[in-house]
Order: sequence, then C-alpha cells, then structure tokens
Amino acid sequence: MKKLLAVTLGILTAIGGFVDIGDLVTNALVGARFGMHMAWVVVVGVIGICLYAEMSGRVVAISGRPVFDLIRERLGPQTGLVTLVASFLVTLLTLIAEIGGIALAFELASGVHYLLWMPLAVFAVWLVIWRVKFSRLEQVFGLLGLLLIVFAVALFKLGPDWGNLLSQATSPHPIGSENWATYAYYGIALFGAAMTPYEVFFFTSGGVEEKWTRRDLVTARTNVFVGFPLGGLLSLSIMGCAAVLFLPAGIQVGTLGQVTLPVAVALGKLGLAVVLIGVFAATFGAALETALSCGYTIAQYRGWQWGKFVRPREASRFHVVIIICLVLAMLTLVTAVDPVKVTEYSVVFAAMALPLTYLPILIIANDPDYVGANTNGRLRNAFGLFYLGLLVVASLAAIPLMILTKAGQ
Amino acid sequence: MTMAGRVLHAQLHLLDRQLIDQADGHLAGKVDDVVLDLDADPPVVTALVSARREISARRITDLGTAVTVDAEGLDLDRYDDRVERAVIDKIPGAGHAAE
Amino acid sequence: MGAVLATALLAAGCASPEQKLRDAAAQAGREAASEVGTARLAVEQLQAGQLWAQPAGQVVGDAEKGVEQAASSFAAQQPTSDEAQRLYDQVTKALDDATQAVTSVRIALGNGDLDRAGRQLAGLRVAADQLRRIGEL
Repeated sequence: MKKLLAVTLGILTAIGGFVDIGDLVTNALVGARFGMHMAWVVVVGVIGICLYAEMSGRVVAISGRPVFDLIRERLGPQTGLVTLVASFLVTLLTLIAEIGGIALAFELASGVHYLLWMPLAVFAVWLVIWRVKFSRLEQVFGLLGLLLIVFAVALFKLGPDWGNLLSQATSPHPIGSENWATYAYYGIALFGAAMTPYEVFFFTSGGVEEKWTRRDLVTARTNVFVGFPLGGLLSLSIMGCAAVLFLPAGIQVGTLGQVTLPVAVALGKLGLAVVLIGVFAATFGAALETALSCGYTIAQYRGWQWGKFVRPREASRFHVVIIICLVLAMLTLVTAVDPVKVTEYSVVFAAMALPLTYLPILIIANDPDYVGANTNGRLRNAFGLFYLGLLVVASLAAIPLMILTKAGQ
Repeated sequence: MTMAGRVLHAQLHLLDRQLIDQADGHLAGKVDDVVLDLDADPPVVTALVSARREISARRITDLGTAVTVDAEGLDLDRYDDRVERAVIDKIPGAGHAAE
Repeated sequence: MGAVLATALLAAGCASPEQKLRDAAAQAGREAASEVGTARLAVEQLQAGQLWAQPAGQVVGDAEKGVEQAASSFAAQQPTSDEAQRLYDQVTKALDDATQAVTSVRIALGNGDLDRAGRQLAGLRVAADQLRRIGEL
C-alpha cells in the first residue's frame, strides 16, 4: 500500500512537473497558428524524453552519478566545457523565462505590474531552495502543477469537433498564411520545449539527492513511462484549447493572458482561478528546477560538492552559483524584455543544445562500468540513435530557420 | 596502473573522474591530471592532480564510478571554504539542514 | 532544407517594392486582427460573467499594446508609387481605427464601465473584419 502510494505520488509529480512556461506558451502559440497540425511533434518529443530520461535514470540508479558528472568523463574537459556552456546558458535562459512566468501569473491575478512581482518571485525561489527539503519541494509543486489538468477539462467543455481535431492531427502540414519554414521553426520550438535539457539534469541530480539505488529503478521507470506521456497529454490539451478557440478567430497567442483565456471561456471564473494557480505552480516549480540545474551543471562539471542533501555551507559554491543565476535573471528581466518572447527563444535554443546533452547519455547507457548488466538493448540503441539524428537535424536547422522566418513571424 | 589485480586505463578510468573524500563522503573535485612514473615498466600512476594539488596514488582507497581518496591534510575544499566564509556563512540558515 | 532556404531567400530578394508593401500590410493586418479579436473575446466573456474585471483589463491592455505595435511597424514602410501610397493610407487608416476601438474599450474597462465597453463591441467587429481582409492581401 505504501509502495503504491509512493508510485502514485511519483507519477502525479511527473505529470505536474512536465509542463513549464515553455510548454504553456509554445503549445498555445502553435495551437492558435497551426491547429492540431503539429500535434505529432509533441508525441515525438515525449517519446524522446521518455527514452533518454529512462537511460539517465538507469545510469543514476546503478552508478550513483548524475548525468553532468559523466558528460565531462566521457567527452573530456574541452568538449565537456562546450556542453557545459551551452547547457548552462540555455538553462539560465529558461530560468529567466520561468521567473517571468511567475511574475506574469501574479500580474494577471492582481493587476500589479509584473516587474514589481519579479524580485519577490526571485526571493521566494531562492528561499525555497535554501530552506526546503528536496523531496518536499518536488512533491508540492508537482502536485499543484496537476491543476493544469483544467486545460483538458476546458477542452471537453468547449465541445470541439473531435473528428476535425483528429483529421488536423493526422495531416501534418502548414495551413493558411503559414509556410513550411514557419512550420519547421515552430516544430523545432515544440520539440525543444518537450525535450528541454534541464529536465535530465534535474531528473538525474534529483535521483542522487533522493539517494536512488538499483531498487528504485522500477519507480523511476514508472514515473517516466507513465508520468511523462500523461504530461504530454496535458501539453496537447493546451494546444487543443488554442486550436478550438483561437485558430478560427484568427487570434495569435503572444501573452500569458491569452494562454489562460480558453479555460475562462469554458469554465468561467473558477476555472480561471484554478488555471492561474496551476500556472504559478508549474512556473515556480520549473524555476526551482532550472535554478538548481544551473548549480548542478557547473558543480558537477567542476567536481564541487553540490546538492540539497548537505547543509548550504557544505556546498557553498553550488549555492553561490544559484544566487548569481537568480540575480542575473532578475537583472535581465528588469530591462523589461517580454518574458513570453524570452520563452519562445529559450525553447529554440534548447533544441540547439540537445545533441550535446543526449549523446553522452547514450554512450554511458551502453557502458558496463556505469550500468553493469543493464546496458541498452538493441531496440533502445536503435531508437536512441534515431533520436540523436533527429536532434542533430533540429539543432542544425534551428538558426537558419530563425533567420529565415525572422523568429517565426 | 594495477590495483587489486585490475588493469585500469588511466585515461578512461581516472581522468575527469569525481573525487570523493573518504572521511565525510563529500565531493572533493575532479581528477584534472595524473602524474606518471615513466621509468617503471609498465608506467604507473604515482599521483592524481586536482585543483593544482597532488594526491599521492597511495591515498586512493576505492576506485569505482568515482575515486575515493584519503584527503586528510590536503585541504581539497579550500576554495569552497573561502566562498563559505565570504558569502554563505553570512546568510542566516547556512548551517541548517533543509526541512 | 537547402532548397527551401534557397527558394525563400530568392523570393525575399526578388520581391518588388509593391509586393513587399503588400506583405507588410498583410502581416500587420493579421497581427492587429488577432489583437482586436482578443479584446473582443475578453469583453464578451466579461459580459457573460466568465472573467473577472482584472484579468480582462489586463488582456485588453496587452491587446492595445499589440495593435499599436503592429500599426507603428507598418508605418515605417516606404510606399514608392501612387498606388502603393493609396494602399499605405488605407491600411494605416484601418490600423488607426482598430487602435482607437481597442483603446476606448481599455478606457471603459479601466473605469469599470462594462456597458460602455459592450457598446464598443460593434466597433471591434468592424475593425476586425477590415483587418482580416487586409490580412488576406
């Protein structure tokens, strides 16, 4: 019974933790512009993140070492450094977007300008990291993030023509005034949002924080294979809401208010309240994850003591990195950059950094030194290689497409 | 180098590995370099280098996915201590475990 | 990939000034129509009691900024012929009308005057139709 509870809790946390500001904005934006014609990208992305999260979960549970620790071991200090810089910058950019998302959610609810909320959000994120136990912060925000299920409820309530949505989903091509370049650009953004690198850094470091052993392997796998796909369904319902409400009206999504509007239309004030709390939880949880991941990547590359399983003073440099990143996030947002725009860029840059993150995982998951007898089978390697190819293509195409489409205009 | 009958590849099994302090299990840096005795046949690793400190190979107590060493007196976390004194210790709660 | 890139670059390089103006007009039209549509949706939902005044005001305020941005980026275009000038004037007028309509909704909501905001709905609808036609250029 207790075991069942733990598994359920893990799955619920994985669902709630799957969606962050990048998924919220990108899915709504894509749904409004392309309907469900790009839904397949979410499916491809979810399979990819399941595949690689399972590999990295296995590496952690058996070797006790988180992913970034191993990236340097396998790639060497130079290539490892390039990976570090790329992943760190992308994670920092994501952190900026998440902090902006928290502040925007408060602005929507209160009417007080988001720049006034922002320092408070930064302080709250730091305080939670400084004081709250790892397992607790993961559970609280994961479970609160589950409130985003209102998007699925709203989609049903909006009473869409399901046949039409399905036929959109099965015909993957641009529509209306869109062309293949914008279609590909947003496809890459959506892919980047689903497979964001920080997810594996956080997932594997979290495994060490919670002292996983071989026995936790089943739990980790269940979380990944059940939690992430359900999180993907959440993403699809955000996209679906936008496809039903905004696409026919010719409305493009560019603000967080627009992202939440379909829920208000379907479920009224109560729905709106629930979705605002859900957005807050999802962005706050992701802000914690990205801030910690900024610390994890640098500390693990350098071999410093890191983690919340020790007192802050025993991992001083780790905590200083997090504080510096939070200050940098604050300074960036103070320039009044649009957090939604930052989010859009962050998912595209995430897509660019993906091969660097996932290649070492594929190598290590085949190394008996780290995973013993649990190396990848032939099928997993075939999938792994296929996805790696996909990641390389997306990564190489991202910048040309960004220039060509003027970032998706 | 050989240890307990195992032949290890210095580049694959030592370089860039995580160092762990045997005393408290704390993470203590990475193996940045190794010092080789080329006169011996085959050449043996005599010391590891981390954060510009040499750690004699005799101090290695365990070799797995990380390298555990007896770090007594080496002061491997001197940089961390410096940051601790300059910043972290000034913040309330630095010495408390999270709740 | 390479072929797509080449064609698109070629298309962008060879477009005549008239075509460029039409493209800019269409884009501004679509963007502004989106903002006007958002404002309209917010007011309708507020009337139906589905929204609080606070987020509705926020959404309309954002829409106002968006439509102003679309107008000002189109204003920077350079019409090179009489015909282009006519198009330029026509689109600018439509964008100005749209901005005005959204602004008056924002002001009405800011004063808590839902009736007045509701009366602007017709204006928003006209503006949106006009912009949508421009968007199809």
